[in-house]
Amino acid sequence: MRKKVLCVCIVLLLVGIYYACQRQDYDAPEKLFLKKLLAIETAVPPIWPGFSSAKAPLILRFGEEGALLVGLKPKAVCGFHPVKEFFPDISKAPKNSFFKPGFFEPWLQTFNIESYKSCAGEVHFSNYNLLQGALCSDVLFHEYFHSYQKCNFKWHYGRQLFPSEFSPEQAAVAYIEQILLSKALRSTGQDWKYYARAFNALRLYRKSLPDPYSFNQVEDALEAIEGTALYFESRTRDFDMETPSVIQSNRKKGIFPTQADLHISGQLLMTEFVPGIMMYWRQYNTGAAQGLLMDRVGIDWKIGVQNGKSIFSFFSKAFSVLKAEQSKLVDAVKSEYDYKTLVSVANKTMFPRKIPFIGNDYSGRIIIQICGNLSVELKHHPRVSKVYRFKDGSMAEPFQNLKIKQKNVFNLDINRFGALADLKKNSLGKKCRRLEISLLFPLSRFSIDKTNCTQTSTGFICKDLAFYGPDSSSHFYVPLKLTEGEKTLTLEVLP
Amino acid sequence: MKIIARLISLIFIFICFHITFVHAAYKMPPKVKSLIDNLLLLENKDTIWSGYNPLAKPVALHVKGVGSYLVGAKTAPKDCFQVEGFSRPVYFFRNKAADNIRSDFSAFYHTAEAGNVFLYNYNTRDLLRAELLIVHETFHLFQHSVFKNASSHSSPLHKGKSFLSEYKYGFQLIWEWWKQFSFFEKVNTPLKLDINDISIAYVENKLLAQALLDKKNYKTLVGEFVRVRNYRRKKLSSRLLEYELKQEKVEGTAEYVCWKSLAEHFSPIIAENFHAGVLLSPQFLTPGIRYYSPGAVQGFLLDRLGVQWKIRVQNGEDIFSVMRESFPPDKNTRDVNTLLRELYSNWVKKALTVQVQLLEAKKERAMIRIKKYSDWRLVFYRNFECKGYSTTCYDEQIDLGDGNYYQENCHNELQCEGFNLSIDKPIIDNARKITILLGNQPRFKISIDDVKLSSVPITATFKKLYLKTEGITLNMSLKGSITINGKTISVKPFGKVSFEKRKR
Repeated sequence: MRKKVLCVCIVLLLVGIYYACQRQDYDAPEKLFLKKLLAIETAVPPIWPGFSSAKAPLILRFGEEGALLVGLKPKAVCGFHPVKEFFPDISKAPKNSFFKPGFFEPWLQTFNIESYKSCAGEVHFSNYNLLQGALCSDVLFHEYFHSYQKCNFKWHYGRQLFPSEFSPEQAAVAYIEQILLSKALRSTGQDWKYYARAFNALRLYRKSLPDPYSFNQVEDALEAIEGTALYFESRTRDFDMETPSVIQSNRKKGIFPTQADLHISGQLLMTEFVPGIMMYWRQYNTGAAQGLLMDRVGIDWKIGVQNGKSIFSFFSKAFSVLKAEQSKLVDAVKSEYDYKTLVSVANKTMFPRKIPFIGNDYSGRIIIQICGNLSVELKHHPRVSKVYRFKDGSMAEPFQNLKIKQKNVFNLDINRFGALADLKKNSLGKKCRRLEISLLFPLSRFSIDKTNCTQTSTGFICKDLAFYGPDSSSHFYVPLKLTEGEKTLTLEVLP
Repeated sequence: MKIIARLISLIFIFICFHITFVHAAYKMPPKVKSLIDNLLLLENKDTIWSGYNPLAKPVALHVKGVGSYLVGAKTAPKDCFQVEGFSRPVYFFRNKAADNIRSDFSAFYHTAEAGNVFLYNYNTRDLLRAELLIVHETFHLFQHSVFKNASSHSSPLHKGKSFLSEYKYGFQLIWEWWKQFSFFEKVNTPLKLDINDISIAYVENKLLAQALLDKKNYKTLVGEFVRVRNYRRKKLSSRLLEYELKQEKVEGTAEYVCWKSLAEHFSPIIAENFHAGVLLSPQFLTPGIRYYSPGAVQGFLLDRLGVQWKIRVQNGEDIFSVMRESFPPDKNTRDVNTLLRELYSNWVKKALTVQVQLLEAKKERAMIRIKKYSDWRLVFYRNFECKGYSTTCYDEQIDLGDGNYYQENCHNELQCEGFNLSIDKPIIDNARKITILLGNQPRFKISIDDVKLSSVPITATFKKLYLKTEGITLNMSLKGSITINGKTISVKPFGKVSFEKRKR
């Protein structure tokens, strides 16, 4: 009998061991995030000097499990507690790391990290569940770097309306530049420096070409904003794979091409010769590539870029070419990469981009009804001066960037292309207005914080309200009535 | 007098409509004209792939709000205008129904005016991408009729240009990859992801990329590719090998044809650079798409050497077997050990491992979350076909293993004939129904047949339904029923509504 019991126990034990071995324990995502953030903050040399959660406080929600707060000491009422209380096996975490268990209200679905007024203070906010992973881009850390830029970069953060046209010569040269940067990234020995200098010569040449659509200006801005974010993302991805000491020792050895070099090199080659990509997405990779190449020669470029200088201004000095040499290099690469054919291809493919509001319709509209004096600042795009006539009969003036303010009442900031109609509305004998803001994206892209709202039969009555969306945010500090339609969001500030 | 006035206004309206319609037809956007010119050139070109004609089936290039330009039709469609200036008739018709199509294309799209066409949604997209997509997809139609043993395993992925499209594209990549990793384990055709295999395949990719970009030494580099691939394939399971052979044949050749046509119409340098870039970027190692570029690039390299390979592949041979025969390793070829030592990336192997762990951890959490979920749900039965279905996810969806997929962080939009549904809440999705997780105390706005109700009825039928709560808007003008049971609300459209069939 005893033997049988012993046998059964052994069998059960073996089965238990088998299942225990089959089951893998995974680190909680909260821990993975904190570990990576700490590694970035303490990296020597720093990935980006000055970057720390303290300079870009963040609330990161992990589904219904809870939310992390980093970079800010919360007010007691918020329910955040030091992370060690929840994750005792974390040996080290970034200073001011807190956790609040349970569902974090409100349900914001933004994937852009917008400035958000939480009970803990002014922070950025994101869901952890952004597409991420080692092989794909790490969207979370890319966006997190943008939130750092918002507060710490002199460059204006925002999605500018990129030029609608591009001269075929500019396009052809810009394409050859990509090939040269890509070659420099994957070359070793002295070759890579040759390609870096050839790139420099070619870009200087392009900058001397007529630039009727202000592409050069947009290129500098995009390389400084998106190029550095991609650079940061590429560099920090190493922390998913290696320990900080291994990364440091690899960097000291100066072995290249690194995996980040190869990745960006590939992306540069893949940059399609079409207007949308060449005028916008291309600059992600050209900016990051210049950063990676300057790291090889130990140039201190980051603080300068943060302070408003272009990446290329540093690159150009780091890989300088003599005037006499410049034209030779330009002629050589133009001939090697079939410049003439590229110009003729550009003539066929670089059609002017279609003007927004296809079918004379907007995707979403915000209507604000308000009385009193407002400050309305709208920046027009240099070449868009027409008035839009929408199919519902309304008209509006296009803008590239819109800021509207009324002190202690509300502010609204949209860093995207849109259209505004500022209509007079006389009621109660006061100077009242109806502002119609037409958008190129649907209202579903907004996250509306209705924490202080009560639902009524006709909408919501809110004590205050905030909403966040793609490069846009708005805060109302006074009571208002909110009505949500299919394509319109009406906000009526109550007297 | 009144009658005459009415008649005059009717005639006036008709003339206005006619003028606008004709004007739209004649004011053809230049990119539409260029695309049609290129498709017509391909029609008579046998150099890209003998027998393939992108216009074997009529292609409708649709511009939202304007209309469709039809090319390749044997007869003129109803209510159309012929657009002059082409070597073959090109017709313009309004095709209003296609304004609601959100997908890039539909290979089998039924129009009232022109019957079954290949519909391409042109909108703001660029000429090159349009040509690539149309040629790639119409080549699949050609493969199905001509290739021996060819059927596609997965639908091709296409990247848009907006930031959201990038997300969506990225999501699709990871999703395809994730499917390969574990989902096949639970159905009849298990395919096990092999991280070692993918890591060695990345060495092959690097060699192919180098060969493509180095016209002087390409033969040696391809010989090295052949060596590494022979080495890897010896270790590959028969199922994965079978999958690889088929994918390279089906997707690789379709990718070859579309980029070859682009190289001929524009410039070979763009096509070669693009594929070299894909091969160097580890993000394209995701199994669903990792065979596209290697397949296409082997075709480019065989062309460079002047090998007649296409008819052999069409008749059932593997592209790589032609490569092996055409690029025997020479005395300059490095051996496998040297190649692995110089080109193998530990980083990529670790990255693959980390990604598996990350996805497993997410899946584990999702399972726990769903098991304990006891709040309100809205169940929407999918008794319909809907072309206007779009999903934008900020994270990958999780397969729950029973035909259900959990999407925690997605925006879903169904814009179909008879109803619109917009969802910004976590959902459990399957072929029969969408279960929307509403949270603890959802507040509903509801009206049935235009009558506002104070709460959701226990059971009711409707001709029209409007239901709104935080994160959900449902607008239906179809017959159906709504019921509430505990905390579950069910909405069922009546019968099996197939809009495709109904239109016919």
